[in-house]
Amino acid sequence: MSLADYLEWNIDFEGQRLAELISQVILTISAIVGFLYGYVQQSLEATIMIFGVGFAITLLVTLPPWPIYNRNPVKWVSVQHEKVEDRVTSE
Amino acid sequence: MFEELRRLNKRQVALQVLNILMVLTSALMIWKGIALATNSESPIVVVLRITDIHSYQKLSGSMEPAFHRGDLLLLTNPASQPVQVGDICVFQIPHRDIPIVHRVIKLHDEAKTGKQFLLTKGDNNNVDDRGLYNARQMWINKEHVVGRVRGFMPYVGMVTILMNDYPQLKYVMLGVLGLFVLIHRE
Amino acid sequence: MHNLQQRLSATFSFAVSALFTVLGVVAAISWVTGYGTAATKVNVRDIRVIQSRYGPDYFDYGRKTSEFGMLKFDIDADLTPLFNWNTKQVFVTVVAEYETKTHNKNHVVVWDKIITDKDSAKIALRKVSNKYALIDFSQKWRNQVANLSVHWDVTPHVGFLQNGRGDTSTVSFTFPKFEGGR
Repeated sequence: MSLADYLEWNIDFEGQRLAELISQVILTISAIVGFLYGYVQQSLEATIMIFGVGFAITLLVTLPPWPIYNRNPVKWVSVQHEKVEDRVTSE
Repeated sequence: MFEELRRLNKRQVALQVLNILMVLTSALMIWKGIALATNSESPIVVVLRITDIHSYQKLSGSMEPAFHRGDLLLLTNPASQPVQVGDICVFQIPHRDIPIVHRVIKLHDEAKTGKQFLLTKGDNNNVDDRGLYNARQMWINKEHVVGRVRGFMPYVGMVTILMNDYPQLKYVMLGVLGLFVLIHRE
Repeated sequence: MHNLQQRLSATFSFAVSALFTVLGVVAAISWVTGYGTAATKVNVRDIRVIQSRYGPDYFDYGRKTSEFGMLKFDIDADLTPLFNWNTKQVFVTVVAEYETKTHNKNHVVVWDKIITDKDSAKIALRKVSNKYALIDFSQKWRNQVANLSVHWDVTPHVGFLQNGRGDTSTVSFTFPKFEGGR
């Protein structure tokens, strides 16, 4: 992998869907848990902190290109060298 | 990423430039819109006539610990409701640029005309606002009041404060945005 | 959603939406349930009228005959019911209200205090002097009857400001006419 590819932290499309699902689930759960816990404890700071932890976890789990996101790499069609005759007939 | 740049032909370059311009102009529109809605006088008046509600950014520390720089305040100003003591008002002294957000600590309503004479003070200040009013002005009236603070959202306005304090940040952000659009081909 | 910057921005915007939804629900709950009422009591110990000059901010600083009320009062207030998870601060004021011939509504804050947490929400003070100048619009007091009451103003962490007053704490007093001499 070249440096540019490495820095992009690409993941494949299946992994993309998985990452999005995971991030939404973690964020929603931490929002709800934070809300309920804060309400019971009557502390808005607790709500914000629980949500903040959930956000940090989300970033840790979905941002780096962990191998599970790259299990279905995109199958690029290999470059085909065209024969000169084929080009002439199709134009 | 960098190979893609090399592969761009003239038409694609033009397309990317147009993309960049669109992003920049819409960012500029949004930025100017926000600046207008929160800082200048006339758009506020227009918004008031339509919806009676608008938002306001708090800039200084005279109302701490209630409001801090960067908090977003929601104002209303129905003409029918007189101002009460304890209300937090946004008011503008004639010939002064910046509206002030302070609490009303005294009011005297004239019986015949219903005219309100108000004195305000910031929670965190020791003295009342007479030093901020114009020379010889002892009171402000309802017409100086732009709105009364009704609702509150913390930290939302921090972006505008940062933009004001560090104008280089504006260019940095636009530059980064532009860079993303340029490199990104989808 | 292919590369890092797209995932970052998508995650970030979802997080912001989730956070704002939570805060919105918090604000809505506070708006619907309110903050409750506090038990307050205030009574007047002493009221005198003196003549003095206004401070240098006032344009008639030279005039020595402005009449000021010097008030001493006691205040008891338990403001703990007003504190819930969304309460950022409670602003307590003691307000003098009266009517004159020229002005039918006069409210003057004589004392205020900012309370930021539940532990310091109980007030029991004696012989408190008025913090702010007790001076009428006309700058004269003439046997004026006034009411003293306690008001509070709740500033939330997020949502709408709410205020209330202790109705049971209203107390009447009369400004004596200034007879001359201090």
